[in-house]
Amino acid sequence: MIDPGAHAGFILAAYAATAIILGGVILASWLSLRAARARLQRLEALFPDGGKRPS
Amino acid sequence: MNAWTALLLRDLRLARRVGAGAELGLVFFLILVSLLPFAIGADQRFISRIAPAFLWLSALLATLLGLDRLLQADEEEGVLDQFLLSGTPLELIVLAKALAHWLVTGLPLSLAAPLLGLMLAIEPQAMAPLALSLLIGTPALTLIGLIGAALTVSLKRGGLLLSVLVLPLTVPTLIFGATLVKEAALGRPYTTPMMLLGGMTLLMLVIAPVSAAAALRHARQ
Amino acid sequence: MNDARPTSWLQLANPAVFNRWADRLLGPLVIVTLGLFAYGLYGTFFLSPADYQQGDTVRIMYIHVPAAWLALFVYAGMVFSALGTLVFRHPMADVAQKAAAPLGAAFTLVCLITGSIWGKPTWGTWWQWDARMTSVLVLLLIYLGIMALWRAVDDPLRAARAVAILTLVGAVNLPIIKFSVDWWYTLHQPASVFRLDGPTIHPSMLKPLLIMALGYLGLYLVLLLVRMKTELTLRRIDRLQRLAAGIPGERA
Repeated sequence: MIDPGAHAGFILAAYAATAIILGGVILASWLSLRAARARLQRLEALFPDGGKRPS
Repeated sequence: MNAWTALLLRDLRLARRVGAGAELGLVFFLILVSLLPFAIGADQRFISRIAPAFLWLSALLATLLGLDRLLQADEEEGVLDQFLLSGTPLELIVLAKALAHWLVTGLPLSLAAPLLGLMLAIEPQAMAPLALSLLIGTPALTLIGLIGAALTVSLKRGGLLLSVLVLPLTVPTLIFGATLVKEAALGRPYTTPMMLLGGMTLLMLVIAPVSAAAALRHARQ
Repeated sequence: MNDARPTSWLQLANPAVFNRWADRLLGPLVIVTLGLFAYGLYGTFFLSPADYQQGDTVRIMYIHVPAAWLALFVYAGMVFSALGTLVFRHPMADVAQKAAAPLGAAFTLVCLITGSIWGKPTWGTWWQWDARMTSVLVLLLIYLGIMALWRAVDDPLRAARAVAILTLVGAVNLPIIKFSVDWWYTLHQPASVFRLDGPTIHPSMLKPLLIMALGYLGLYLVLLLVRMKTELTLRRIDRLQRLAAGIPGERA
């Protein structure tokens, strides 16, 4: 079991730093996928044949 | 005279003409060394302690000079194509370029280093090992730089990127070289770092021309 | 359309086939990863004991050590992709490599930062020039170099090949760097050396550690797939834009 000893702050800081870095990467990856998809959809609307198979 | 020696001599001549020859690299080295006391103070004993490390770092930085144009100019002007037409393998061509670069940077640096070591109050018994370590180690630095030069050959402003790519790879060479001098300064045997340093140079002698040639081939496709 | 099974890696070279498989894999993978993290974190804080020497700070190990493993694992994967790019010219290899590099850098950064925070109560300083921390720092620098080269070269195909060569050169150098840094460290060994690895680790700590490592691996795979899909979408956008601009010889 956890015993909030003298070093609780360090443990918290380590987990927070990990969450921030990995969370940031997750958020950035997800947002860029969404943005790319939106751009592609707008662009594909320009092609009435619905976008042929990718070469 | 075959194409390989022709390329080597041409590069040496070019280096002398455009003023990027041995003298300027040495002046750069000298400037770095004279800046050190301004940064850390005139305490001889302290300077003497960090001198081996500092001389090696300076050599590392001085070797980076001019690397970004090492292959670029020839690539742009089609000189590399001409030499390729002569039937010389690309691996040997880039090796000649690296050798020329080392002859005008690494070699004079190694020979001048003991003098600069004198200014930095390096231990007398470390003078010869200092020159020796640079003689053995600077070829490895040039060869690692050759890989960076080939990877950034198509980039207009590749200088900074080249340093970022190359410097982490020079860690082992720096460790072995600086340790060699430090051990010698302490009067201890330095055979192990010398062997390791030589091994680094031999390994790079194999890896660098092959990867640099591969990078050049892919860049021109 | 749905019957298309990738019978070989070559078939996965088709972005459409890849996308379909990535979409099928992503959902289950996210669920598994979340489960692993939930169980791993529970094990970290409630099931595993405090270390008799370090007390509760040992709980930082469960996020620090898997990050170090992943930092190396991602690089190994990139070497694999680099060979795929250079030798087999597999079109997905460079997409994978481009997607992986920032993830490897992120895990390396997590490893360094948690190591530093762990170091403060254990060593008394935020940064110790110890052999392993220093090697990981050099690994981060190599990752940053690879990412910089990706950005610098415009043409994706050329960039992919240059990065592949750099990755392979780095792979040859990494063991030497590791060796040289270890060697350097033994010459400058400080008085007290703190060691965690080795067979001394107790099984009650090993299990949560392995589960956290699997969680990290799952997270990496999820992000890799997402980033590969993004890269493929961006390339398709690029093709369509060229087509819209009426550049001849371009197909959608």
